Amino acid sequence: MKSLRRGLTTWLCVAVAGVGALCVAVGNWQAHRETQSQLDYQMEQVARILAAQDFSARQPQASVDEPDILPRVNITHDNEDDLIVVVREAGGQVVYASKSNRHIPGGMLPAEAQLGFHIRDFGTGPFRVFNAQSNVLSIEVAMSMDVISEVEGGVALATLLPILLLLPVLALVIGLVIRRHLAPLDAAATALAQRPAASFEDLPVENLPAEVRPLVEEINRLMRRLEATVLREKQFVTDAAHALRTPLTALQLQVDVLDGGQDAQDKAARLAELRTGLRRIIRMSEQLLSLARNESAAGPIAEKSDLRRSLDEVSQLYADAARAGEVRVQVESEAPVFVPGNSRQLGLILGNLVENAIRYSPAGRPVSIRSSVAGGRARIEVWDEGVGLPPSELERVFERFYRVPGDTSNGTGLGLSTVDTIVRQLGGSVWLENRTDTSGLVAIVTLPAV
Amino acid sequence: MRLLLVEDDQMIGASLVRGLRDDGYVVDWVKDGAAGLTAIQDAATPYAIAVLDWNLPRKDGLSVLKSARGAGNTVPVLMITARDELADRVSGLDSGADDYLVKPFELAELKARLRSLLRRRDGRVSSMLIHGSIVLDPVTHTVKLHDAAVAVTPREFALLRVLMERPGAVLSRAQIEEHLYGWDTEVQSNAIEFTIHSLRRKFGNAVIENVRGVGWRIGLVS
Repeated sequence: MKSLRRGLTTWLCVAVAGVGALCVAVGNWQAHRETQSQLDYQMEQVARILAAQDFSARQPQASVDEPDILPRVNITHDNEDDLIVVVREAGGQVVYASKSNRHIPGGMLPAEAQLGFHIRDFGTGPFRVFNAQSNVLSIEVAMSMDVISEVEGGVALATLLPILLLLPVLALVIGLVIRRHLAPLDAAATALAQRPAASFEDLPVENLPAEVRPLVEEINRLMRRLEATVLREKQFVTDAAHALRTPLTALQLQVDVLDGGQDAQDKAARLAELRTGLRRIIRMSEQLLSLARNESAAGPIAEKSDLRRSLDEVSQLYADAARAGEVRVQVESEAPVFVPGNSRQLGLILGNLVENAIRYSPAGRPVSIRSSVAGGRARIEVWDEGVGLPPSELERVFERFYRVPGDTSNGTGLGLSTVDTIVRQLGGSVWLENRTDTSGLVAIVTLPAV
Repeated sequence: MRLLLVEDDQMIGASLVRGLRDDGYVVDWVKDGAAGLTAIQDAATPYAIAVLDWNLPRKDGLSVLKSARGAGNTVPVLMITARDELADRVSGLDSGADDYLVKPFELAELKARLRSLLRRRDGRVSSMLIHGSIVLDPVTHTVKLHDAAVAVTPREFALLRVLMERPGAVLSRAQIEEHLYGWDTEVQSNAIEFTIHSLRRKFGNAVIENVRGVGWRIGLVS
């Protein structure tokens, strides 16, 4: 898994190390250059001072090993001991040599034709040599490259030491800063991990950095949606359990009275009642299942169906009733009309409405189904000749488990709720109207024609 | 024993009526709260018990109960309901229900609770009715005379029970008929006399005393 903290710490430390290395390189080079020009300047200065001296009164030096016979030349510099100075007359006779000349076995060899700065090896390693010549004197100032390197090293160290010492401190600070700034994330994660599964409270966003806040706010919004879903499901289960109590009680009692009964006819009637009770609870469980299935269905509706085919299927289903004149299907449009939804969904819509219409119609009175298309919408109407509904109930009957008070039919209170759920999903609407021509109810469904 | 059943579910109501009639109760069944309240208040002879569903059309069971109690009606009421929240049970009992049964329930439990309510109404601790040497057991539907079981028809049992529950009281024909027949039963004019006659044959003439011009009461069988 990608870790922000590890990533940030690693890469920042790599960057710091890189910058450190660059500093060392540049510092070294700089130290080398600085030291070189500093030492060169010194060597030049020494040569200049010597050139200004008058060596004519001096005894020619007998030996390079006895430079002290010469008066001390008044030169002071940091590297007195490291500078080797030899002054020669035009004839090559040494008139002055610094004590340090003894560092070179046999002394510094006379300069050749080379003037200015150059590198020469006296057998003990390379020396940087400055050679200046006047009419009478040849002045050579030399310094061992080892010494120069040493000086350079010292200078470089002095420059780089603070940087090198600061690098680990910087890395530590980076680590701490990252940890500190990511702490709210950790806290949010801990808070999330510790909450009970059923808790949908918002995660606190007050102390969160601006970059993380939208994420947590989005999580909170998701939680609220989840909470609504869970509450709905919970309510559904409660409602379902509650709604099952009545048919279950009926079943229990129907079973309890089975062993009673005075004669065969009475016993048969009791058994018949038990069967009806079983049918009711089976139908209820089917409707609960279908409602739950349709409520949890989500996402775009990919399928479409020919409405006329669904109407045909429904009229076939109620063929017996249709023959008895109880159901009449009228399709006004001859052209196929396609509506969203699969045959199961359309079957549930039409089946529930037709079943309701039959249930509440007086025996023998027709239920008619009409379909039409207008303005890009398909319209299905189911007409019955029942008693209709009080206006206050026209909308309430779509509520889950709602039964019109005093309704003694074996309805479950789920049919219209299922219809409503499916129709909404298909982008349509459904409502009930009381008939004006006669008593009865019209259920109207409109669906987008596709 | 005449009961009022107020229940809107066709199946529950039908089965309760069957089950209770099997036990010798006379059951009047109404299907909404308003009719229930009318039946409770207008009964010529108060019902022995009213079995009242909570969820009823037109007037819910709790309102029926409150109205009846508000009018001073003391009929023992057994509430049956799908609500099992403590608050519901409390408010049901506080509104004057004598007992409370949560759906789904078994018929046996309902019957036991009815017997318990009747015992309480009569101030008895046992369901058993004892008068002299006659012992009537409403649970097993048996009658014993001198510890020997006597076979009785449901109607004989019911009549004997009505009289034994009110020792000393004289009940008129109309009162006995009220207890023995529901609204839907056609009462034959000599049915009561016929039943009394067969009871006297089984338990001896003294079992039911005739108070001329008023009615009958339970008598002592030696």
